[in-house]
Amino acid sequence: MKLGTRKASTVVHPSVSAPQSSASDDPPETLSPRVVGRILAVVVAASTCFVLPLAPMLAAPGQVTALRINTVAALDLAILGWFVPWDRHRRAMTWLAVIVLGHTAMSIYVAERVEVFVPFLLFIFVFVGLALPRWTSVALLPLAVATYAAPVLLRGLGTSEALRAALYVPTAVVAGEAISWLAHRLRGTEAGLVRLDRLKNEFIAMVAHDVRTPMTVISGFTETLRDENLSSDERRTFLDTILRNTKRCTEFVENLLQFARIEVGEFHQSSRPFDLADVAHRLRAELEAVHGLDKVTVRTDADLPLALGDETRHWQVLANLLSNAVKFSAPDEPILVDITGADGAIQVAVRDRGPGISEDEVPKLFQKFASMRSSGPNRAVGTGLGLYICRKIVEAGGGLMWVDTRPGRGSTFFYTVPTASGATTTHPAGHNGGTKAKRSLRRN
Amino acid sequence: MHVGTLIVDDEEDIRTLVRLVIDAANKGLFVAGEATSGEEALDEIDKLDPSVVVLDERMPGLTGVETAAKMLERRPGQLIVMCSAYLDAELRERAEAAGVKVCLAKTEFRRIPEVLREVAAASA
Repeated sequence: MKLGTRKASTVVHPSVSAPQSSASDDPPETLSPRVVGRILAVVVAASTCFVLPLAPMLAAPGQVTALRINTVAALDLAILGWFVPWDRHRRAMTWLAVIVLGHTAMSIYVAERVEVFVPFLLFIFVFVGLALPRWTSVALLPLAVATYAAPVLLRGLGTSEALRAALYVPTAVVAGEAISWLAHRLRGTEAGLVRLDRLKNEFIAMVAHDVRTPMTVISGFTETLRDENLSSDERRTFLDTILRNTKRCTEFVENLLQFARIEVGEFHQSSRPFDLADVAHRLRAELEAVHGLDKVTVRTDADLPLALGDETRHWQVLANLLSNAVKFSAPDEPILVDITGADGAIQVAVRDRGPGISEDEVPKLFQKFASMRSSGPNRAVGTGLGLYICRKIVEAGGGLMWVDTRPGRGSTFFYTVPTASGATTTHPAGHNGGTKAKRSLRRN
Repeated sequence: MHVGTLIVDDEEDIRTLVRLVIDAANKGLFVAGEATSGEEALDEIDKLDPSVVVLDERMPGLTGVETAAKMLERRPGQLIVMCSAYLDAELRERAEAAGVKVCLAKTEFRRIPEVLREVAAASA
């Protein structure tokens, strides 16, 4: 969770939230598309002006016509390239540039004009290296290889000179596209592995933090208990600390196991009528008794219907939302739980007056490892599994979960639970007031 | 030698534990103050003027390394000890590059008094 400066509120439901932006693998381009298009057009046009009159000198016998046809086609596209920005047709322009330059180079080479061939190759490298953005240089490499390989391949197949000329362009295109596709796949796989490796390291760091920290506390306070000079109050405090951290370890492992079950599709829950308001009141009482928290207020409709779902799981959902609300709000700020019935469902709203959540963090909130992906100066610490598991529990029971947040003014987490039709129960509306929290709960 | 320490950790229980260890060691070591985040530590450090800062890495907001870098920007001679639950070579490298004197795993919390004395003596 992090502070933000946005004024308007953000309401996001995970199922309709905007997709996360993914970092592009392409290095940034330094020239505008129109400028690049025009550079390319000039280069191709200059090449064709050079190639057309000199074709008989440059090309091997029998290749002159093919060379001229390709060159004229390239000239057409060069003219088009002057008017159309590079990003609109860069693939077509790249191909034409490669083909005309490659064919010219081949023709010169076949004609054994080494004194022309070497400067021409240099010209191609300069063109590829300097005139185009970096990604294009990378893309051009397999295409250039294919362009040079195509006539060799066709010659090896024993085709006639005319057929070779006719097949030259499509062969080069198909071979180049295949190589380009393979290169792209390899780059994609490599980038995926790098991302996976980074996520794995983050996960290990997170597990180490979330297990070692309570284990260190347990070990440290247990050792301290050996001191015979401790008062009985100190002993009780230390034992409470040990117990709290033991529970934290257990909850952490339970979260990981639930996550694993969700991932393999083996997360099951029962569906029975239960009293959601009673769950909320019992949770509030436990927070007060165990953690000394008396700032949570539960308000329910007088004739709230019974909910339909897994009571234990819904205890977990509400406990997680309350834990987050406590952790992310000041000790003297109240937390409000509103439970209302409407349209065949029960709606639960957990309101806090914490810092709120910035717009860019909201779409990640209900995703797995949310806090691992979180960044910036106000990122949260934790597994980032808690809200993901909550959402899965709520959705598996036929409900929805979403958040309404205003940076600087707090957040309200909502979820719905289907009602057990016809069943209602009566609760007193409103419960305890709140004073100061004595201890923060951990956000899962 | 008197060595005042600022403990920076978002975990209250860890702060309490480090305080207990330092108080038990005594002999010139004392806790100058506590902070629950890097931001709070940066706000308080000039007022508390500790000899050594014991800093966690994984905290909400600024990380330990980021906090160390900002602290040293403002107080170039500040002695900082990082005490993290997960301490790999990469974190050690980043911490040392930021100017952290010593890195300790949280499981080595019993060594904190000894490290505080060593670091303070080396800089004296």
